Amino acid sequence: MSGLFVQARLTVRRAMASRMVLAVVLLALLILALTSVGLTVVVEEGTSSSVRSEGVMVLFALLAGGLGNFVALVLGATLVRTDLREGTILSVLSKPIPRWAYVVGSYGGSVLFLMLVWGIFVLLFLGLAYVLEVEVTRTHAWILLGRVLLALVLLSTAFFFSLFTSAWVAAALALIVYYGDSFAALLASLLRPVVGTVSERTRALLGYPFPATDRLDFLYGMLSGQLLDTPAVGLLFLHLADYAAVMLALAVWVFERKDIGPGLES
Amino acid sequence: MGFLRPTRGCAFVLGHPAGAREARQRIGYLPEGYAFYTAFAAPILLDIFGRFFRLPVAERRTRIERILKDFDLWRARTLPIGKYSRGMRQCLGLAQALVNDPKLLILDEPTSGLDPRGRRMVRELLLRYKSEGATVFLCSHILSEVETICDRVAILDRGRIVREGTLKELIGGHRGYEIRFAPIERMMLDRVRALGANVELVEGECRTFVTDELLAQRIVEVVRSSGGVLKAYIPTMRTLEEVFLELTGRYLAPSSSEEA
Repeated sequence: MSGLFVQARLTVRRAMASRMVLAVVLLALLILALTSVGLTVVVEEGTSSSVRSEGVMVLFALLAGGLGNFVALVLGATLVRTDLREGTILSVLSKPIPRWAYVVGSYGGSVLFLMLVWGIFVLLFLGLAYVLEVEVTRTHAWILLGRVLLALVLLSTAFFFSLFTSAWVAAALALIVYYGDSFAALLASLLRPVVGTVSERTRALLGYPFPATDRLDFLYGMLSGQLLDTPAVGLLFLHLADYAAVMLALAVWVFERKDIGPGLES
Repeated sequence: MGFLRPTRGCAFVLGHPAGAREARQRIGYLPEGYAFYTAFAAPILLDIFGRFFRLPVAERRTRIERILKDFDLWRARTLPIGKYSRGMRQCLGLAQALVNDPKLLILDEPTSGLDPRGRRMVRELLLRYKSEGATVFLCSHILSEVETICDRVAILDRGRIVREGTLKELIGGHRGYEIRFAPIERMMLDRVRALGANVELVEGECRTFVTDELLAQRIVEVVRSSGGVLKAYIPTMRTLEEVFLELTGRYLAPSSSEEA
């Protein structure tokens, strides 16, 4: 078990050493500044200051969420892939650590680092709310949780695919899965002339491998006033969580059977 | 080490299945072209690796300091590994292999990239580990290094073992005897030649090389009985390189797979 924690620690230190935190903080501050300036310019005169403040917060959350997803994608697609490509994995796996602990530790470390990044976003978000005198509500918490889970899905899928292929391809495949719910809808509409109207159940089955991002766009829901009700939100959250867990389990399964050595990875 | 899955058969290392965690607990491993996390400083990297072996904090610190000093890396302990020279990296690769005080060291080209001083340092360190009871499993193209360090040698050619045994078994006894003596009378020289020796005059002295020990002794007797002065009697050994070339041929293989 200790090998798992050491690997997680090593992963966090690697991510920290890459100066990603610094880049994220700088980008988040940049987003914050641009959002504030942008909204001041765009929002029509006469709009109340509370609406304007809420807009700043929503836009910040949206852009920071995108940045969080980017960090998740980079972490998932590059960490183990770099180890495999550069051969640093040999230095770790020659130590008494089981392969599953290497995978779970790397994943756990990536999640910890991602949480650190999200922690920075939350602090900035809370600071923004304090400055703009906007009340932080339960809705904001739901948005945050949804965004974090979506980032975890991206991290997990990119992590899984990076065991087989290059970081770029892994990231691309993860994005396809991430936005795959739209493909399921497209497939259902394409099948309609052949099999008639696809039932909601079949539609749900087709969409199951994909993390249903369309329906989880809480920020859009909040902007349009069409937030999902709590039970549906709970189920979707569960789906995102089990999705991340399944991808991690698959990654462990694949890695346990993988041959590792110089010249075996491109 | 468990990196590759076996296609068939099984192997045991230190009484445990090859690749098992219990075996790796007591193994130090250095692959060829060892890759590092270059953003870390050496003590941080070794500390993380020490944690994998569950070494207590105090022991870890003491051992890391000693190893880094052994390899003359202590002065560079604050530098990120990315700024190390190739030789320093190679030394650090060896240092990480020693962090758990292993019973078995598996080293692939351990002196690659090292200058003569570094090579000597590594050789002495490996001999010290060997004398303390550790097993050193060395894979190298530098056969003089193999001769100095190893007791048993296996010669690989195109991925297959073509000869295996102790160093003495491989090299055998004396290859021959070189005899040097001051020029003697022609008649006596003809007597030596009549024994079957090919005598040449080199730099003002007679030289001959024979493989048979009895013949060598008879030549010495003839030289002495004729009043000649024996300048040198040198038993010569075969080298591992000669054995290697005999076994694998003198020309380069299509792939660089010949190793000892």
